[in-house]
Amino acid sequence: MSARDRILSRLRERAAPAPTQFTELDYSVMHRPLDAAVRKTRFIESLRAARAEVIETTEATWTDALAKVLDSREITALGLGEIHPWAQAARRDLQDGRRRLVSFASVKGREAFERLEAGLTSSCGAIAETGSVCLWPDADEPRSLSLIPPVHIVVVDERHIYSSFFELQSAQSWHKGLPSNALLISGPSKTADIEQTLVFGAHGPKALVVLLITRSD
Amino acid sequence: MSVKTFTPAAFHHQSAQALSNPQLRHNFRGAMDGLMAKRLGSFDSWDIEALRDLGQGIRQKALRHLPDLLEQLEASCQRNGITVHWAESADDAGRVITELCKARGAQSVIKGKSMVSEEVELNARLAEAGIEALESDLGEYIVQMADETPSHIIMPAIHKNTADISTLMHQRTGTRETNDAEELTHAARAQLRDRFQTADVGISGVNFAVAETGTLCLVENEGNGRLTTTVPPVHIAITGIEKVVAEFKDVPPLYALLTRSAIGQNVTTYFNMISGPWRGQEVDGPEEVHLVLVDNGRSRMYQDEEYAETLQCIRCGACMNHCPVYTRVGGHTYGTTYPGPIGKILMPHLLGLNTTKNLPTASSLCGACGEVCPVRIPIPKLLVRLRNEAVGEGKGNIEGAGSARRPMEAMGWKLFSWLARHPRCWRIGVRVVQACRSAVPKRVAPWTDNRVRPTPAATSLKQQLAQRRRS
Ligand code: SF4
Repeated sequence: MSARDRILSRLRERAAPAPTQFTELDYSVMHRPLDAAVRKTRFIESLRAARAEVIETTEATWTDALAKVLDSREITALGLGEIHPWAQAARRDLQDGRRRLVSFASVKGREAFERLEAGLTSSCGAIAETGSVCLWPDADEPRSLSLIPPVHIVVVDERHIYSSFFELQSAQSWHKGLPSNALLISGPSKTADIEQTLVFGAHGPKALVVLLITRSD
Repeated sequence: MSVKTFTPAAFHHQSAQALSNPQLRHNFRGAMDGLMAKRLGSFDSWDIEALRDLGQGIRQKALRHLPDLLEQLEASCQRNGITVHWAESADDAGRVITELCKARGAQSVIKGKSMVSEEVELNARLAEAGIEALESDLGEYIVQMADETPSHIIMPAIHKNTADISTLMHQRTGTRETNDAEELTHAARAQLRDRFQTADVGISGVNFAVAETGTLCLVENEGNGRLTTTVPPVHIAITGIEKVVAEFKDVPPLYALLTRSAIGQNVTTYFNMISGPWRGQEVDGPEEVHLVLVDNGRSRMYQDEEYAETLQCIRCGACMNHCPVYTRVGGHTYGTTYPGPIGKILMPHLLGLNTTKNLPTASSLCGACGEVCPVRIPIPKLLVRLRNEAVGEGKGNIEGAGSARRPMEAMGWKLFSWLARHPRCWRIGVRVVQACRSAVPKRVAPWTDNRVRPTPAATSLKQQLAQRRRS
């Protein structure tokens, strides 16, 4: 018998409890809906409390906002995708030669660690209650893009802000299957392992910049 | 002193030493006070009791169906391309992981935080095979550098202050001495940067394993967990068999409870959900993902429905943060991987009561741990039961039951119980004791070590009441 079978058969030795003990669980405490307007302000407040930079912008002007962020942080090498619509727009509008636009697939290993000063990604949703951005990395915007460069810039559409994690995963039917890696990101990396002193910039990005696309309709 | 010298059998000696160390007590007191206040604040907008009910329900549901869920988890993981391994003991776990590393010709391993890997002493086992394991969580990095073990399950280096850490990093890595935690943190970041790139294997723990989707969830703030599970070509996740949950919708409630109970945060910086190695056209992420499911005594605990409640634990550490004993003696004093209240009920099962019989007695039974536990583990009740079984006649669902039994003490209690049921003899006994009042010796060790000598009253309460009724 394998270790697996021995463990499972030991677990099965326990007399099963009477089925009457089983009651459906009540998840109602997790339903915490917020109005659209509250969702947006809560999202911004929570992120700022976690030391993320949040910039409200619009679909028409967001690449200007991006250019400003890059300039103010003196970023000359930006990693970004080629296929995602936000990445395409950024590529189209940032053609002034002031910075290199690098697709992540073309830099590997050590280079990625050393050359990229910032990574731009899209998001697949956001959470108001905790100020979290949800990422489903893929071939075009791989996992490292939001992890290795010291600055992570992410575009979030106001329409995709959900009240809570519980609401987000149920609205997007996560139970049906997830990508190889899914992430919730709620600020720049941090630690308090040295005498409870909060320090930003542990091993992940030292800064998180959220470009929030607001909608007037 | 190296922590390797701490053992659960020497608990009394170790606690006396810890109590006479003002710096250590200051470090713990300060940290625990802060954590308690933050936890309370973070549940402000929640119906905390309803949320705890749900957390408890989710964990109990998972445990009730544990064997089925483990099979489902295995199938879902395999479908996602994750290879599942089973380890019955700490030795098995060490062997499985060492072999996986050897198969890749691995020289170095980078590790994210994992208490189960501490439990099975993975680093030492890898070292025996000539593989270097480096901890990347800042707290773990510090305790590894000091050749110690974690003193808290969430904050491994909580027993050290900034000055200690600065001296240590200066001695071991040449970091400039400073009292600035930020400078030290950034120095550690720089020191580890290369190591993530050159590591052959990344090893992490798991906070929740979802049977429904075959997803491994990791909770962290630093990003070292993401690097560990993303950059090296192989990712090995190690976890206890009890960490499984049935459905994905069980994750948000447990995550909400975990971060608030642990550190009083509404959320951590990263919630990393891994459902397999890189797929299709993806350009990064590991080529291989392995999940090692460790039993190491858990299936035995599972046999007993009451003890099995210990397996509900989500390792938030709230019970230790609120424990008056832990706060005073610190984590190393327990001499076990898991300290504090949860450790006192878990470790006797993993190691047997022979060496751990003192642990369940290291409690005032104030009940704080049970009151804050996000999944409502009745810790005080389990402590009392363990005490009973430690001094009992050797019955009980645990190895080493009866090992704390002393024949004289047992006889004494038998005699007392007989007397209490025979009033006439009891009254004679009371008179005899009163007649010998002054004969109580000056020193009744260990009682008189810290307290005044006990003397029986000249008249018992009952006698006084009788007198009052008469007058
Ligand atoms: S026993 Fe409860 S309070 Fe203690 S670590 Fe486990 S879940 Fe947290």
